Amino acid sequence: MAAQDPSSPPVADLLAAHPFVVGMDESQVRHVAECVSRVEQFPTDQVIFRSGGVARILYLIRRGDVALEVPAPGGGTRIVGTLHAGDALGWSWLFPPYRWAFDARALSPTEALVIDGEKLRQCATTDHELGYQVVWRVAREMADRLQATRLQMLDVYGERR
Amino acid sequence: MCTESGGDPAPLGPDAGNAAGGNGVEVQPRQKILVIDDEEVVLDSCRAILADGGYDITTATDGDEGLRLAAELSPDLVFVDVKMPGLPGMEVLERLRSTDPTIVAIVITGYATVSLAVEAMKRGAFDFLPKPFTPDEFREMTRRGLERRTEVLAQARDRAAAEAAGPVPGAGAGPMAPVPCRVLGRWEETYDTVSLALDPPPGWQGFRPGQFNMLYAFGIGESAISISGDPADGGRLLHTIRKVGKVTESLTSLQRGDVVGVRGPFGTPWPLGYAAGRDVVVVAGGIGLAPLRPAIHELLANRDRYNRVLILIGARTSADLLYPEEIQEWRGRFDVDLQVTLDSATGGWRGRVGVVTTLIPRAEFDADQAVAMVVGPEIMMRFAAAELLHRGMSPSRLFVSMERNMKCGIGLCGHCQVGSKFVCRDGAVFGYDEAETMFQVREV
Repeated sequence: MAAQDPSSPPVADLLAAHPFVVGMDESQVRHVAECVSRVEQFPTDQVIFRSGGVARILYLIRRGDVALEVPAPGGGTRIVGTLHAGDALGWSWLFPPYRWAFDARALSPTEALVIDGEKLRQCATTDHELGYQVVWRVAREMADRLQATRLQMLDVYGERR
Repeated sequence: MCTESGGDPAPLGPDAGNAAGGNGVEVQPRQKILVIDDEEVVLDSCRAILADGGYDITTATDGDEGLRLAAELSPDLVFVDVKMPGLPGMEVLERLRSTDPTIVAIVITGYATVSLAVEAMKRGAFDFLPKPFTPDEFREMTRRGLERRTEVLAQARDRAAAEAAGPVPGAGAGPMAPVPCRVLGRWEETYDTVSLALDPPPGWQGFRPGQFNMLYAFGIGESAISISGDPADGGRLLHTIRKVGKVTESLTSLQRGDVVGVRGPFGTPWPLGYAAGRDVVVVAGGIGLAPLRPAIHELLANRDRYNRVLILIGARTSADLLYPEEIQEWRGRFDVDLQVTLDSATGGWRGRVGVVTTLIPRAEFDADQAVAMVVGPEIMMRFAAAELLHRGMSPSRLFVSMERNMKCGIGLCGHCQVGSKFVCRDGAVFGYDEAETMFQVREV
């Protein structure tokens, strides 16, 4: 992990450019910006979090590629999906028991906005309008990934049975 | 460069120019052989070995000189060394073949590997000669190469005659009669998929990207297989076949020199003319890349006719990915946006993982005018179409290629009928405005 480059734009500007907040009004984006704790850089192959660890952070990927991995039967790891610039990484901070379900590893030099999930959760609890915006985005992301996972499970390119 | 003529003229030269000599006896023109190799000792050996063969032998020590001489001399047979300083032999081979598909080229190298041989065959080489070779091996390879040249020129003459005579479906034998064609080359693309290079049938007038042939494994049966080669390569017919049943099992086990029955080409082509001036989005899933490859070749060969070109490829695993070297080549171009994603990968994979449809929401194209061409399993095509429509693309600019139990290829037997359409005759390329309702009819 590396600290933010001091010459880079303010965190609020970086956040405003991320697809996650597109459609939120200015005050909502400001509230989310207050939850951004830093910008983090992850070199290739750095593990961002591990399955079972406490989930406190929402990562908004600005650049780079991240693999979501699970241990494969018989050893090694299996990549179940990849996330890229513009994606949100991790929603386990939103729901109990607040534990990561997968390992996340940088596939290439990656930069992400680090949002304090606990703080954002509290903001969402007190400001339901903001809460709706956040949960709606997470739900949409989950629905997209669920659909993609179903297609993956169908093994559409496999042998016809 | 070095040119010399050796021995007596060939008594039975294949290129029957019938130039009359001064004594009234017909003299066959000498067959021209070009050898491109950076090692002088190899060139000297080649000249010495063929000195008594009655050929015109020309040599070049690098690829650029070789190409220049090839353009100047129109040789019958070219030997190309793979590893040379400057222009690599594979590049020379490709340029030779793209300039004149009738040129017979044989690759020679001291770095003989199976993968290199396969690569050479893919790029149109007739054969592969590992160094060091004996004089007999070189003479035999020359003989076979020139024999092949005779066949190629004869086919070219047949084609020209057929063109002059007008359309000849099924080479005059009727559309249901398979024409025997020889397998010129075979290589494995993946563990269950094989590509065959076939000698085109007499009278073959080429194909349009998106069309298919009916391939007949004699004694086993027939299967509709899309044509997967470059439409500009008239010298051979490429098919990529996945083993999914008895017929394809038999087709994929054919070896060089075996004979297969060919009927075709059948079916509607991809709308490449309509796509001119527009963004083009190609979405391929699994073996679906095979029927799209001719279209990709044509798009890239005429790149200035199109706006953005996006190629989105999905495969089950990295071991299932078709044409990986070619994909790498396409990806290396600055005027193409190519993305590959796998359904499943191990920890060593550095690319994307996820279904191919996940590439569509972020792809940069103008949905208001773009044309999309999609091939893969039907369920993949449905989901890909849903994403493209969600981006705002009109169903009338979205095209898919269907595969529904095609048996006759000409809309006669009805096996592939879906509603009022025969997939083989009215497709297999359909606009999505038509295909959407056809997708709702389940396969039997």
